Formats: sequence, structure tokens, C-alpha cells
Amino acid sequence: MRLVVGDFGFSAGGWRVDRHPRFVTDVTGDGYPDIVGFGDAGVWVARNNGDGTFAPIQLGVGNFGYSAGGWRVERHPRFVVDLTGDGGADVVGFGDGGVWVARSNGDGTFADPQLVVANFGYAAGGWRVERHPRLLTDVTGDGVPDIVGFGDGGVWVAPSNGDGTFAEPQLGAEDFGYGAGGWRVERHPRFLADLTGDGRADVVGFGDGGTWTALGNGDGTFAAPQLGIADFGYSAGGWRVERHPRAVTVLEGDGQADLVGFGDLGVWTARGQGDGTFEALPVLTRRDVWQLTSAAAPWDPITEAYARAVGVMQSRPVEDPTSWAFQAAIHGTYRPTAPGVRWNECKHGGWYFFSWHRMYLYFFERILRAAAAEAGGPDDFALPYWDYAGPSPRNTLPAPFRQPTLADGSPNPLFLPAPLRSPGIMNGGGLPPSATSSTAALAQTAFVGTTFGFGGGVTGTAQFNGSTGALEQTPHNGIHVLLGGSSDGACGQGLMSDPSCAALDPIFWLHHSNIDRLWNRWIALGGGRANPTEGAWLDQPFPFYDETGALVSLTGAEIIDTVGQLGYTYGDEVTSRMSTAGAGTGKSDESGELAPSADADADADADAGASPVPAGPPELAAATDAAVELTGGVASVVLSVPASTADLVTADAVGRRGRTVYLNVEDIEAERNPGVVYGVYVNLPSDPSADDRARHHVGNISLFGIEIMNDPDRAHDGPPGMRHTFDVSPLLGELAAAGAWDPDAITVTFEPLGLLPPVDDGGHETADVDAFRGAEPDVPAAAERPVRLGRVSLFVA
Amino acid sequence: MASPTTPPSTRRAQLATALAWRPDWPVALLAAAAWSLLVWLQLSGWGDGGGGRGTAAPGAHLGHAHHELGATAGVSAAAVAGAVGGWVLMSTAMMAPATLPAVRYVGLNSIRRRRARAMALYVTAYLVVWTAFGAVALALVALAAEAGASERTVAAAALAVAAGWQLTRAKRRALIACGRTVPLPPEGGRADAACLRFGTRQAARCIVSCWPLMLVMAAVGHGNLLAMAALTALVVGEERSAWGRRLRAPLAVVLGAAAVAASEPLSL
Repeated sequence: MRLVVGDFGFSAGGWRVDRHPRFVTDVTGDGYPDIVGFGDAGVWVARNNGDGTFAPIQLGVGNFGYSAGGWRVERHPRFVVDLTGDGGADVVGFGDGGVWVARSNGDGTFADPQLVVANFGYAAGGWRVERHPRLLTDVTGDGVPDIVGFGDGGVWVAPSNGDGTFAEPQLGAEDFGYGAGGWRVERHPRFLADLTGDGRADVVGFGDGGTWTALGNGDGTFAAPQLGIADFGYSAGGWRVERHPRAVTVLEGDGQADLVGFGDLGVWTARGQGDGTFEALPVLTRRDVWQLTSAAAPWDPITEAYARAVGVMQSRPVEDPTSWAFQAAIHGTYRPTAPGVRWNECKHGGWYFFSWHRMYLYFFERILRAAAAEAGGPDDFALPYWDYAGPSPRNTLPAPFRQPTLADGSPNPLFLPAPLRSPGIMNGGGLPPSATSSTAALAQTAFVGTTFGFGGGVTGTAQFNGSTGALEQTPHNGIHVLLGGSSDGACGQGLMSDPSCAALDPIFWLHHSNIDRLWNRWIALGGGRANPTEGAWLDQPFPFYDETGALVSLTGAEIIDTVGQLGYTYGDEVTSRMSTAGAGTGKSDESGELAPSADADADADADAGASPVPAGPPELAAATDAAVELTGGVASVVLSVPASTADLVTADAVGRRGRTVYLNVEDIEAERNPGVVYGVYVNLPSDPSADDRARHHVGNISLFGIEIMNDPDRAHDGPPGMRHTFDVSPLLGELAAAGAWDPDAITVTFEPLGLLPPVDDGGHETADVDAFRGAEPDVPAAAERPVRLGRVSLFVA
Repeated sequence: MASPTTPPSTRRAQLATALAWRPDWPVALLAAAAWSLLVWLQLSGWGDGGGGRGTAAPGAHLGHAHHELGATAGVSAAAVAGAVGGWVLMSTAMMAPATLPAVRYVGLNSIRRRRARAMALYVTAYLVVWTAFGAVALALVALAAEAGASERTVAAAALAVAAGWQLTRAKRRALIACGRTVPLPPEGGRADAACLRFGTRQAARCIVSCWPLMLVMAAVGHGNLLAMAALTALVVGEERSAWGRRLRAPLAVVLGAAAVAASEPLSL
């Protein structure tokens, strides 16, 4: 490093970034770049001697300066660019009255400035730096740059005459402008670059829904905008001007510009295809495991690749972040954690449940894909999902997880013998609909909600928090415990029942793949369903490890869109983002974020309720007087209704439209997880039929996570007393309408959910049924592990 | 959010709704009142010269109580009452903020008719337990004073104990149990008993969590508003936020340093 010019510096000459733009460009035409600075008195030049040293500084022209002409950085963009093709760059300034040019004399001085276009200026046309980017680039293909300005109404172009003067400005495209499309400097970088290789620059704008392009027609006008790729955008990918620089440049020898973005995880590129579009991230499809396999044919390329990849990961030492044990420990582990290692990171009982697990699966899947490739599997391997909501065999453990060996007779890494998994499950038992159904959870329209919602309450980032959402309760928690059965607190049995062991069971990942799918499904249902928009949810980073073993992180904002941001979709998702986002008007404000549509306002109103007064808290209407203990059998409690709240629970009141009734089970405590899931029923008739059970079922109580909640050494935010909330409005409304609601006998029944006996395709019990019955149920264990319910209560909102 | 054109009736309804979500607001007011009274006592000089007014003023600083002990070689009932009264005031100011979420829980989980009563019972039990602790703490400090230990030595010792206590399993457990609740029957004597039990348990748990810090306050007295404010922020942060809970170990270091700083001039 050496000092070549004792000027142009903060101290040497008093140069300031907010007053004095400086450039390095060839103004003499000798092929060597010179130093050019816009100082107070004008444009100063230090000519390159051709050897990297510079001649003494000279005043090139007494204008374009802070004092000379009153040029301001925040009002008057200035450039040094060759307008005539003579090799020597000329000075161009966007002044108050328009565009001024001082042509290079070839010796480091410039001719007197002349006004070449009475537009594109602060006064001439009202151009503003904070709204209207302006630049000089060749859009006509004549080898000299034209003036391009992103104005309010769109892209304005003044083609060069080749002599430093320009033709009259014309509107080249009615988009990419402050008003036309709602483009903003602080959100939407815009460039001109040759996307097609024809020597003429095209428009590239990083909008909300992705990167939009408009191909040049060669005469200063542009074709209609198209979505070049649904990424690198403010919403599509969560790209931010202040965090994520983006560029458009030719990366290969094809002369067609590609996209480059500095994202959170590193540098991303998208190859230009020469037509204004860019090669999108390959989208992989996560498939339904029961459509891939059957009991008779458990192995297909995907399930076999999964088994082999799991085997590869299991063969790696625990210190390797891409090993099976390490990945499972990220969720939870009883192993001591080495310093700096991010284990025991799982998030439950709150609003980070969905986002954290999506990130967890995403990186696990990348590791798995690399391991599958190593084991000869397909390169486009994607994790399957297990949709257990349906009749046999769908509700039974997928066949590849029950086979001791692979097709070639080698041991099957997906197989875990009882009691590592529930014996009933390993003997072909089916999960009951009351445990697998997501209908009640999907019916919730709020993610957080004032009292209860789909996605859980606003919480900190502890492992277990006290605000579990509807889908996390059922099916997520119940399925964990039903698959695991009784656990031992040491990963010696019932792996899935214990969060510190669960991810060691290969079925964990298919279960969570399904939960992740249901999150997408919920969003797709519409009706005001939306993810949180709070910064605490969007911007909270969580650490993981990628397929190279590197520590990486993602935030909520980066994983909202599985297709555009993470490159996967689910086999049952009919629309992909690429097919929907590009359709329509070709405007960048499609997301509604820039110009909130009437619909968005209507949604917001719907969220707030019809009345301008927000709802008050739900009121306690009935509750039990004493605690009840569950020991594996059936238990019922009757709620007492105080005289002063009796009118809240009359048949009329509970049946009223718009009224929500919540059943709460509070202060749930247990020393250990009993390995049993209790179904919760309201006013279940005595000696109930299967239909009665289905009708009166309102939810489940599972103790998933109680080990961590009880452990004072583990970070969690929730009290040991769990609280479960159930929306019982549909059932109570139905009972009230049928005249079957008796407010004087509100009874809540808790009954362990049993597995369904194995059946064949015709619905007949199979030969496995004896083994199944021998293995079921585990009541003695549950009796030794009582669950205490402090209070059961009814709230009315 | 009320827009400028919102009619006053709507704004009143919005305020009523906001308060309905925060039924603990009267207790927040009570804590604010306790702080105001302490500041007023400090500004009006009661904290410095209570002894000059014939009896120990309600705001008298314990130091004066034990100065009187020393002077008269007998326990003045008025001095003790003053010290305990001061303690109740200080406990209300310092400990009510940390228990506001529990008060809110009691309010939101009681039937409307019983809401005020339930919260009052809870707070009463909570403060009675703290007062009992205060009596013991003040007695201990008085004993230490009688044995010749300076206020500064006692404070330094209490800070040192507080630093060590931060690292114990008991402290961790007490913090984790902070959000633990007690089932509240809907009405009747069982409901009253449950509120009292909840207040008692929360206070006891809180004492397990931060007794050495309150011992520090017993030593330095409520005349020291700065120390009170700092310890209140510390207790509320630790009890009621996840980040505060993570500060447990770093705080041990801070308290240890404070103990050294408090004792240093004496060791020179």
C-alpha cells in the first residue's frame, strides 16, 4: 500500500462523502483510469501516468462542485462516462434545470458545461434522489450510453445522439416507477443490464414478488415486464436493500446477464436464460409415503434412499454435525453439550414451533440428500411425509419402518424394535382419528389469536413455552406420544415420546414433514389465515448446521415460502408459486405490500372484528372445584356453574353465533410422561358408541415435553403446570341446537386414546392382531405415572 | 388505536377493554403509590432525620432504628413499628411489580363477581409473607448491628451471599417455578383459600429466589432509592423475562463485584 496522491482525502483537501463524489475512470482516453473528484470549486482530476502513479491534481472544470454551481449529493447525481465513444469520459450532472454535460478535452480538462436535456432535474421534472434513480447506459445498441431515469410514471429514456447531446425523453416502460408499480429506492434496487446478449440494456428490477425484467426494443422502449424469477425480492426471499446487495452481471461467456445476490447464507446466483427469465431454484417434491409404498411393497427408490442415507448418517461420529446423533441432538439430547455446539434448540409451546421445525427439516434434508447421493440414491431426493389422517393402512406406521431388513437383506436403519417404539404401533396398530385429525386446528383462522390460535402464542425462544397452538397439540403432540409409548428418560425406550430422543427415530422426520405440510395447507385455506408479521417472529435467527457441517442460521422471514425460498413443495400442493406469482398484470405490487389492496384492508378489518372496540378477555363461566388425577383409566369431572355466571352458559348463550367457548385444562402436572394420550370429551353419554365419541371429542391431552418442563436445568419459559385450551364452540353449538345441552351437568371426560387393531384392506382384523393385543394397552405404566389436572374450566368470549 | 375522529364513547369502551385485559392495574397503581411515597419521604428528609421527630417516622431507615437500639439499650416499640412499616412500604414498591402477571392471572381466571376479591386476597397473602420475612431480616440485621457489624459490612456480606445464591440449583428452580399457578375453584371458601394459597406460594417462591437481595435492602434501608430501583429492575427482569433468566450467572459476577466494592474501604 502506498500513497499516490496527497489529495482527495478526508484530511488532505477536506473531501467528504456527503459532499464530494469521487470516481476512478479514464477521462483522457489513454486507456488508463484517472482520478476524478467533484470538489467544492469544481471537478478535479489527477491523471494516471500509465504506471499507477498520478500527475499533480488539476481543476478540470470549474463547475459541478459544492460551491461551483451549488451541486448537492442529495439532489444532483453526477457521473463520469464516455458519451461520444472517443474513449475519454465526459462529466454528466443531473442539476436543477436538467442534465448538464462537460465533454472531455482528452487532457484532463473539460469543455464548458452545456445543458443537454431540460429534464431529469430537481426542478426540471421534479426528479428526486430518494425516489428516482437515474443512470447512463446504452439501451439502443449504438455503443454510447443513453439517459435512463426511473420516474413516477415509469422508465424514461433520452437516447444519445452520440455527440454528448440527447433526443427528447420518452416513456420507455410504464412500470418500475414510484407511482407505476410502487417501486421504492429503499426496497427495490433497479438496474439496466443486457439480459439477451444483443448489446442493448434491459431493465431489471428487484420488486416485492421477485425479480422483474423488461426487454429493450432497441429504440428506447421496452417490452411488457415479466417476472424473471420469483426470488431476490422484498417478499420473495426477504431481500433487503440495507442487508443484501444485489447485482446483475454476466457470469458466463454467453453475454447474457445473470443475477447475483449477497443473501444471509452467502452468495446466490440465478443464471440468465437470455429471454429475461432466470433459472429458478430446482423445486423438489416431498411425497406422501403411503403413496410411495404399501405393506406388500415397502421399498421404492425414495424410501430405500431414505433408509440408506439414514444408515450413512448413523455411521458418522457424533461430533460430526452431519451425523444422525448430532442432528437429533439439535432437537434435544441427554448427552452433555460441548462448548459452542448448538444442541437442545427445539422450540415448542409457542409461535416459533412451525418456523423452527421447518428450518430444522430443511437443513436435515440437505444433509440427507448429500448422504443419499453418497449411497447412490437420487440427487433430487426429498424427504417424504406421512399423512396419518385416514383409514388403514394410512394410519399405521409406514411399511418401510416395520421391516427389519432392506430389500437386499441388510439391516434396515428405519426399523426400531419395541420398546424403542410403541409395541402396539410396531405390531400394526392404527392411530385413532381423534389423534390424527387436523380439522379442528385448520379451522382456526388466527395464527396467534387473543386466546388461542393455530400456531401458538407469542413467546420467547426457550425450548418449551406455555402457549401451545392448535396444530401443535393435535395432531403433533399426540402422535409423538402414541408412536413412542412409554419412555424412560434415557432414550432406551419410547423415543418419540421424549423431545430429547424423538429425532433419533427416523419416523420423526416424516411426522414433521407432515406437520410442515399442514402449515402450508393452513395458509392455502385463506380466509384471513396468515403468518405473524411481527419482527420478533420474522427476524429471530435460529442456528443449524448445513451439509458441509458449517454453522448457519435462518430467520422466519426466510422460510415463509417453501417453493421460492427453500426449493421444495409437497406432492399434494396443486399450485406452485412460480405458476401463480407470475400471472396477472405484471406489476410488482401484486403482494399487496406496496399498495395495500381493498382486499388487504378488508382482511385487516375482519381480523379486528366488525366493531371498532376490540374484544375483552374471555370470562370464566364454570370450573371444577378440585383437582383430578388421571391414572390410565377413564375419569370424569363435573363443572360447577356459579349463579352469577349461569347466564353465560345457557343453551341460548352457547349456541349464539359469534360466541366462542373455550374449555381449559389448567395446571396439568406430571412427574413423567405416562406414554398415554388422553382424549377430552364434553358431555359424553354413558356407554358411548364410536359415533358418540367422535362427536363429543374436543381435543387431546399429551404430556410431550414434560421432561424438559420439569427440569430446572433446561431453558424453558413455561411453568411445569401446562395449560391446554380447546375451542368447544362447534360442539356446544351443535348440542344447543339439538336441545341436548344441559348447563347444570357440564361433564368433561378423559379417556386414554387406544390404537386401532390392525386390519386388512377389507377391514378384517389381520393375523397381527394377537401380537397387537398382547402389546396393548400400557395401563400399568400410566397408573405409575399419574397426571394431575388442577382445574377444568369453561370460558366464554 | 383511536383515530382523532373516534367518538369519546368508543374511546371509553376501548379503555375499558384494555383495562379488562389488565385486571391487575389497581396493584400496579398501588406499587406506583408506594414508590411515590418513598420518593416524597426521601425528598422531605424523613429518611435522614426521622429520629428528630420524637418517634421513628414511618419512613425511618433501619439504621436509625438500630441507632436508637444502641442509644436506649432497649427496643422501642415505635422504632420497630416504624421499621416494619417502612419494610411493608418497600416490599410493596419492590415486590408488587414482579407479581403483577400472577395478579393478572388471578383476575382473568376468576368469575367476574369475585375478581377484585380474589386479587385482593392474593396480594394480601403475598405481602403478609414478605412482611414476615422482613421482620426476620430486620431482626437479623439488628442483631448484626448489636454485634458491632457496620451497615456496610452487613450489606457487603448480603451481596456476597446474593452472588453465591445466584448459582444454586434452588435459585434456578425458584425462577423456573415463577410461572407456576395454583388451581382456583370458581367460588366459595375454597376459592378464597386457593387465592391465599397462591399468594403465599408465590411469595415463598420469590423469597427463595431473591432473599439475599432483600437482605441487602434490610441492611441499606429504603432510604436508598437507587439501590431499590436497581434491585427491583433486577428482580422483575429475572422473574418475568427469558433474557433476565439468562442473566442469572452474569448477575452473580455483578453482585460479587458489588460485594467487593462495598467491603473494600473497610479492608484497606
